Order: sequence, then structure tokens, then C-alpha cells
Amino acid sequence: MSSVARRPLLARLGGFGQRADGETRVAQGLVWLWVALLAVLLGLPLLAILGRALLQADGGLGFGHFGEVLDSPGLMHATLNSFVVSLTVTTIVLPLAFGFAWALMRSRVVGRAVFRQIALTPLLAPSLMPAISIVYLFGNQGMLKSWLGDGSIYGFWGIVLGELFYTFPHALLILVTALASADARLFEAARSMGASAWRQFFTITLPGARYGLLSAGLVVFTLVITDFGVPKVVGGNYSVLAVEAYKQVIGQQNFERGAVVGLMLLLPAVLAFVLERRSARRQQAAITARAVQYTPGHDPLRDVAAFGLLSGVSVLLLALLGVGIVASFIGYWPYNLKLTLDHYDFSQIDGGWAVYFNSLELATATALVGTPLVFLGAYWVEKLKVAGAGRQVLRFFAMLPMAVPGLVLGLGYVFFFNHPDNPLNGLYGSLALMVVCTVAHYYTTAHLTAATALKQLDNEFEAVAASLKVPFWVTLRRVTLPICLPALVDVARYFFIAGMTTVSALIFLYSPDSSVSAVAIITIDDTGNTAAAAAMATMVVATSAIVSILFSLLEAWMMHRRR
Amino acid sequence: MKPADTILTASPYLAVHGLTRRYGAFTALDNVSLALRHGEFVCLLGPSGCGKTTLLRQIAGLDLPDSGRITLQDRDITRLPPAKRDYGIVFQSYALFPNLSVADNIAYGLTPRRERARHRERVRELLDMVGLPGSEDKYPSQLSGGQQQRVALARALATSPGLLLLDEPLSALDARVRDKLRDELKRLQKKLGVTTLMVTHDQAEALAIADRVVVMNNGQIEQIGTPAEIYRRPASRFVAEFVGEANWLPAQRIDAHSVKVGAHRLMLAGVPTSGEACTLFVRPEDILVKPRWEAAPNTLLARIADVSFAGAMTRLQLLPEGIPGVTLTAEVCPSMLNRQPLVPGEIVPIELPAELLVAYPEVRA
Repeated sequence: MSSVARRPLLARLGGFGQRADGETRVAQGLVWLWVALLAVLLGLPLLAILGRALLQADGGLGFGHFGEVLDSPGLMHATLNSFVVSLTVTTIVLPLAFGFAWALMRSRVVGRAVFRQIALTPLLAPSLMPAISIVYLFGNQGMLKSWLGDGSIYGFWGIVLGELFYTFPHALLILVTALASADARLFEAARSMGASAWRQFFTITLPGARYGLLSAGLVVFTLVITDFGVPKVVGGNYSVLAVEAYKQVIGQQNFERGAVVGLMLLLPAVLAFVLERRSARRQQAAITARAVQYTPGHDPLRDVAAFGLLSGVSVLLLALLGVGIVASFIGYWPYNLKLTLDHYDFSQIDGGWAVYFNSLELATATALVGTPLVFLGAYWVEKLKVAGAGRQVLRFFAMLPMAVPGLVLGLGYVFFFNHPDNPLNGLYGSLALMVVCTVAHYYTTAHLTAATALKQLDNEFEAVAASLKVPFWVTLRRVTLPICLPALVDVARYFFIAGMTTVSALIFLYSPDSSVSAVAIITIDDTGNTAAAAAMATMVVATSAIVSILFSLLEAWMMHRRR
Repeated sequence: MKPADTILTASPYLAVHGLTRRYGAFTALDNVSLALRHGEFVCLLGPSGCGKTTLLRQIAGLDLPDSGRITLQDRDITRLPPAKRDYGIVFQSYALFPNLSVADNIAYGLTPRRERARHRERVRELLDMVGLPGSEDKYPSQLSGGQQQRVALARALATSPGLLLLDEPLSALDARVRDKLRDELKRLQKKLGVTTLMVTHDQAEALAIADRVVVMNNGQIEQIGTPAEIYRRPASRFVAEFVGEANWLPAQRIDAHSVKVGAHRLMLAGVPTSGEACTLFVRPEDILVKPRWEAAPNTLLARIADVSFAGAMTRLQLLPEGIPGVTLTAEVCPSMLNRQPLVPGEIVPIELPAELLVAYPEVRA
């Protein structure tokens, strides 16, 4: 043995230059197995889009299809529309959500927890739910149609209203976090210098939340520009990019143009993702460990204003959710107002109740497949000290889905799994592939939840276990897994609700046998049977809500048992 | 120290040869070599960032060196995974498994798993040994910091490893518990005879507990020696300052046994041959305050600038006459001082004992 030992390249790929024993080899194998799995789930489908967009008719590579899209006035018009709608929604939803978050965090209004829950309910519904409610409220037979005069809700304002509902909780969650980290010492210092409440707001509150505002703005913009459900139902003739991509692929079978449009949708999402990551990194430095938690003082005027805002927005959100639910129980709006369960018969629609049970199956399978996949993947990334390169790739793959809209991922799945040369071709149209796609689509948030839980564990657990000659899988089973159970429940709930409500990726993947509720809402609505669509949406919301409550109880019980 | 030097000539239990570890441009370990005798208690001492924890992690196999070799009983373990080495480890955080009982924590590494009864017996034995009998069914969150530390120690010793590694095991405890546990740890180590390597940044702790101390700085070893050697005859100015307080006097070499300091000629055991200028080192408690003036070697007069009470000792700030610009710190024991209390402004005779003065060549500031 030479005293100067060089690390061979192969050992470096293994990550540690350690003489490999059985345990190390198992660990390396697992890391690379996960890399391969995520490559199939994410990497290759996304590459497939790129390939499709660049592949020319003569077999060469080029930008011909991009030229076609630029030359087609319809698509360019849709691009412009998408931008206008997304910007409009962002400028409306940001102040609303910020005001709401401020009222939750900086006032003493009674029942803030209830208002918070109400504001988060849209997360339980597919984005089509508000669209259906809007049709009932302002559609051609809508009960508030007269408010619009001669105008029609179908089009720009319908989309904006629906997206407000859909994106509000996403913005709220980010802004609540941003406002939660207030340092009371700053406010005390400002007050002692005689700054007015307004001055305090503009010099302390607002600057403190600016990263949160940026981040929320980017998230909302990306959600709107890639959303497909709302414009499909209430968009009317107002064409947007997401619906155009769908039409190109499903309607006209023009895969190449669909791929180009998909890439166009990917662009703002990736940009937003990069900006968001960068600002998140800078924000951490802004909070010091010695900050004193801010507690709002006595101020009736502020509380009255806060209450007004909280209840106003809550009523609007509940209306957009509730109208659809109520309408699903009404005979035939507006001619027969008798309450009925007829619309829950589903005999008129393709698949009937089987569609709902498919949804349940999809959601359950997504939770059952996704939770172990994500948790183990996060464990390999955070705790195994082997295969450094592999863990880097794994970390990249875990963050990638956040930058990929569901619609784009769905397109990638079409191109990759529907390719005649792909041995996995048989999966196309099956529920299994839809499960895999949903897991991939929602991977990032689940991964971050698991990784956060794992990071809170002592880093030396694995080192101690190794010194005691106990292999890592025993420590994983006996220590890590039991401690992380609440986080696992969280991940499972997240995957289940995602499986119940997701539309955008699945719209490309379902077959008549494997249609699911959220997708069926669109097809039912297309046939004009809005009441049945509302009933199906109500089933989704009810299921998500019940399962969510059950999971919360389970989690609370676990926390309690752990003392 | 009793373990005679004859043992040192036998092959060491643990040896580190020319270990180097770089993180980018930063060299955490720079060609470090070290040998531990069987049953010895060695402390790695140094400021944070000196490389002591890096060295421990290399020996534990938690990180790999860029070059160099580690041998355990003549077996090369440099690139073995941790489980293939033979050691128990206690971290500063203790890393007790929070969901397992004390008994399950201690028995975690005992094999085979199905021999429950035998493990129960072993756990009881270990808990008795660390002074926590009957704590089997408690959970880590129900224990105090000191108790958690004992459980972590019991867990590390459960499999009777040949080597015990301790990474700042006492620094998370408050001062009184720390001193008590320090003595117990040393007693236990002597009883079991397990070769032990402990990382610490606390010089008092290292001097009190170790058979030998390894002082590290900037990824290199400054000195290896018994606590007395380290304290009395520090190999470098860094060591002298890190393991206690020191006075420094600029001096000029006269001959092999005397130097000129200001207007005085001081005798000492040995003077470095290189260069004219050197620096004299003397510990505060080595400065003697004499009851009355007698002309004697190394005796001079000094004005008391300040007197401060420091418990058992009294600290003096002295301005020696004939050495302008130098303030000496002296520690005297009032009960040993056969005279009236010292007051600021008073002029007293002091002696700088020749056998306790050490001269260093003037290389570093």
C-alpha cells in the first residue's frame, strides 16, 4: 500500500473511495436504482418533448416547428392571451392574498384558524370546480347573469375569476410563511422612534415579505399560464396556450406543434423556478436566530378592517365552491329547482360510477407508490454517504417537477410511452401509467416534506450505527422510519389529494377504461351536462376533504403517542 | 507517567501516518502522524478549525483522507468502511435514538438480535458501570444531559470495542456536571483499559483527563506530550498560549545559559543557539514574590500596578524595573505569602526562577 493513495475514478463515482463491502454496494445500488427510476419517470419523457419539437419531417434536427408556430397567428394570439390572463390574475390575487395573510398573522380577529381553513379549501377541489360555479352564477342561465348586462362571463373574466379561486391558497400559504417571521424588536424600535402604523407597514412589514411576494407572484403566474381546466370550461372563444397544446395533440394529432407549445409553457415555469430558488436562498439570511416573535397589540380599528377582509374573501371563496355543490343537487337549473340526487346517478356518462372508483384507485395507488418512493429517495439523498454523483442527480430530479407544468409532463408521457419502439408502450392508457405520472408531477413538494423531516434528525445516527456494525437498513427501519411517520402521513395525504384533483397531465393519458373523475368533469361538461359535472366535482371535493381530515386525525394521534 | 517507554517501542495500537485531507483550497489535515499505545487515553486539543475533529472522523471512517495511512493493530484500515473497523464513538450530541428505550439504545449493536436474555444482562452490567442502574425502560427525552451522556457511553462500550472515540463528549454539559463526568470517564477508562481518543477544545479538560495530549493548530500537530510536558515545556509559542496563561519577555542572547532582558541579566537552563534575539516564557504562578530584598540571580524589583482577587489565588500586574514597556502577570497564593497584604503602588522584589524560564527563538510574533 503506497502512502499516497489516489482515488480511482470508479471509486469516485461510488462517491467515497471507500473499499466497498456488501453494505456499501447495496447503498450504491439503491442510489443508482432510484436515479434510473426517476430518469424513466421524468428525464426521458421531458427529453422526448425536446426531441419531438426538434425532429423534422426529413428525419434531421432543426427549428422548423418553432417557425411554424411563430407563423401561426392563432398560436401567437393564444400566447399573448395567456400572458395577459396570467398577469391579470397575479396582480389581483397578490394584494388579496397578502391582505388575507396579514389579517391572519397581524390582527387579533377571533376565529382566524377557521378563516385560514376556508381559504385553503380550494386545494381540495380540481380547478374545474370554480369554473362550474361560475357557469351557474354568471353563465347564460346564471342566477347573477343580470349583473353583467350584455356581457358574457365566457372568456377573459371567467378565466380570471376561476383562476383567482384556484391560485388563492397557493399564494396565501407562501405569504403566511413570509409574514410569520416578523421580528417584534423592529416594531418596538419603530414605535419608540414615533413611526406611524402606516410607516411601520411600509418600512418593516412590506420589505420583510418582499421575497414571499415575489415567490407567490411567480407561483401564481406559473399556475395560471399552465392551467388547463378553468379556460377549458369558461374560456369560450378566448384561446389560451394550455388549451391550444391540448387541441394540437388530442384534437389535431399534431404532436410536433404540441411539443413546441409545451416547451413554450415550460419556459416561464423554469424561469420562475430559478428566480424563486435564488430568492429563497437570500431570504434565509434575513431571519436571525435572536428574533423575538411578534404578537399583535390591541387595535380595534385594525381588527374590524381585518375581519371585513377575511370574511369578504371567505364568502367569495365559499360561494365559488358552494354554488357548484348546491347546483349538483338541483333538478334542472333554473326551471326545476327541486332538490334531487339524480345527477349522482352518472348513468348518462361514459363509465358511470366506475370513473369515480378509478379516481379513488388512482389516488390510493399514488399515495401507496409515491410515499415510499419519495421517502426512500429522500433518505438516500440526505443520509447515505455513498455515490455522491448519483445523489446529486437524484437531488436534481427531485427538484425538477416543480419547474415542469403538469400539461408539459403529460405531453412528455404521450411522446415517450406512446412511442411504438418503447417496450413500456403497453402501459399507455393504463391506470398504472397515470399513477406514475401523478407521482412524478407532485414529486418535489413531497420530497421537500420528507427531506425536511429527515434533516431534523441527528446526522450522527448513521455514524453511530455504523460504528456499532449495524447496517443502514436496520437503522432506517428501527429508528428513522418510526420517527418520520408523521411526515410520511403528510406525504401520503398530499399524494392522495393530488391523485383526486389533478387534471392537467392525465388529460393526455387516460383511455375510456381508465378515465378518472377530475378528467371526466371536463368531458361531461363538454356534453353540456353541467349538473353531472358539478356532481362529479362535488364527489372529488367531498372525498378529498374526508380523507384529509382522517389523515390529520391519524397524524395528531401519532404526535400524541410520541408525547 | 508510569506506562514505561518500553511499551512505546512495541508496535502502537492505533497509528496515523502522514494523513492529509484537503477541502478545496483549505487543508484541514496537513501530513499528520500520531501513535497511540494500547490502553492509553489521548486528547486531541486545539482551537476550532485546527483539524482535530477531521482527524477523529478519518479514524472513524466517516471521511477519507487524500493521502496517508491509518493502522489499527498493524491492520491497514485507511479505506475500510466504519463497520469494518473496531471502535465505539460518542458524539457531542450523543445521537441517542429518541424512539428507543435506554436498554434498546445500549443493546443496538449487540448481536445476534434474538439473544434477548444475554443482552438484558449485558445492558444491566453497562448501566451499573456508568452509574445509571435501573434506567432500562426510560426514554432519552426523560434523561438529563449528563444521564444521556452516560447512556451514549454505555452504548459505545456495549460491544467491547478496542478503541473508544469521543468527540467533545462533555462540552454540551454545564460546568459542575462536566467536572464530575470527566473524573468518572477517566476512572472508567482506566478500569476497562480501552484505548481512547478524545477531541476537545477545553485545555483544562485535556490536561486533567489525558495520559498524553496532542495539541493541533492549522491542520498540524504542534506538540505531543504528557499534560505536564505540554504545560511546563511547551514546544511552541502557540502551545504555551493555548494551554494556559503566559508572560513573554523580549531578550538578547548572551551565552548558552544567560540572556539580557532590559537592564538585567537572567540565568536559565538553556538558550537557543540560533540568532541573537529570543523570547522568554514564564507562567504567572511561577513568578515568586519575595518577602524581602536579597541580591540573588534572577531577582529584580517590580512595582505593583494592580491587585485583583481571584479566589484561591491573587493576581498581580507587575511593572518590573529596568524592563520598560513590559507588564508581567503573576499569580500568588496569599496564604503562602509570609507578609502584609500587597497593595498597588508598592515595590516588591520578585524572582524569575532559572529552572522555570524557557527561551524561544524569535521567529513568530
